[in-house]
Amino acid sequence: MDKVIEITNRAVADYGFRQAVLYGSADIARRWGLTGPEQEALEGMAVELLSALPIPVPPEDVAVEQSRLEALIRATR
Amino acid sequence: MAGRLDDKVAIVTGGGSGIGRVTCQRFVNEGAKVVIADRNRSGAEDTRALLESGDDDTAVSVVDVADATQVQLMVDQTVSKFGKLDVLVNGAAILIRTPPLVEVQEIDWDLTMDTNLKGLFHCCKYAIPPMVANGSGSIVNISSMSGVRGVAYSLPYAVSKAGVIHLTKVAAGQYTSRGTGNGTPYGQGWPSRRDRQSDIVVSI
Repeated sequence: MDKVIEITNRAVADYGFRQAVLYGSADIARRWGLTGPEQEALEGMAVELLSALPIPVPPEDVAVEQSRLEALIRATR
Repeated sequence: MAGRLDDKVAIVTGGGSGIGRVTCQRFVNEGAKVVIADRNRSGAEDTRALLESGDDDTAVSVVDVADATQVQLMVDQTVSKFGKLDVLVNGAAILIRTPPLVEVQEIDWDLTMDTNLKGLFHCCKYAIPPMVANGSGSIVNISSMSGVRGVAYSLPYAVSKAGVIHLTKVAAGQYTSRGTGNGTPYGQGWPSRRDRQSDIVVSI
């Protein structure tokens, strides 16, 4: 699940990358070589969580949001 | 001065947000029939709702411009629905922040190039034939000042946008005499985002 966390962390910090994940998660999964369960986590929970973030995430909140999303994603696996 | 695009048929990629969305709005206000193309379906549908135009005048195409098959289908469906294609606005692009060159990951380079440059190439490749068949057409490729001056925070984006400028120059030389104009607006000297958006439309 580390790759999913890495992708999610980048998407929290970089809104341009977040758009690539939100609207092309299958493509991102293919490019990053995610396994089936990893792709499921990215296209499901990660996308849902990323969709709910503010645009963009204020710089002072990035680390907190990254930690929060990581905990939620790891807790569901 | 509305009506400058009466009876024209346009595809706007990246129409689900930002510059693409306001371009769709302006085109409809000017009388065009518009295909709102975006891989973000909800964004494209939101744009369509904002246009307050009927089904006969607008359509949504969910397309990843990096995929040639999807782009060809988008053009075919446009011609099938509206009978022709007069204008293509290439607005779809992504901007991913990257570290300095040595640390840029190949995956980020490819992701950016596939959308910003190869995707634009696909759209031109499949839009030009129906324009030539129709005897005229216009393509607006949206570049960026980063494609001229470069930006430190994203090498792939800057290079892709420089590529857009060059592709446009070469393609214009190849097709302008056949009636297909091809221009690349970018922001030099434009004082505000609002003005820049207006100029993109005026440049058609």
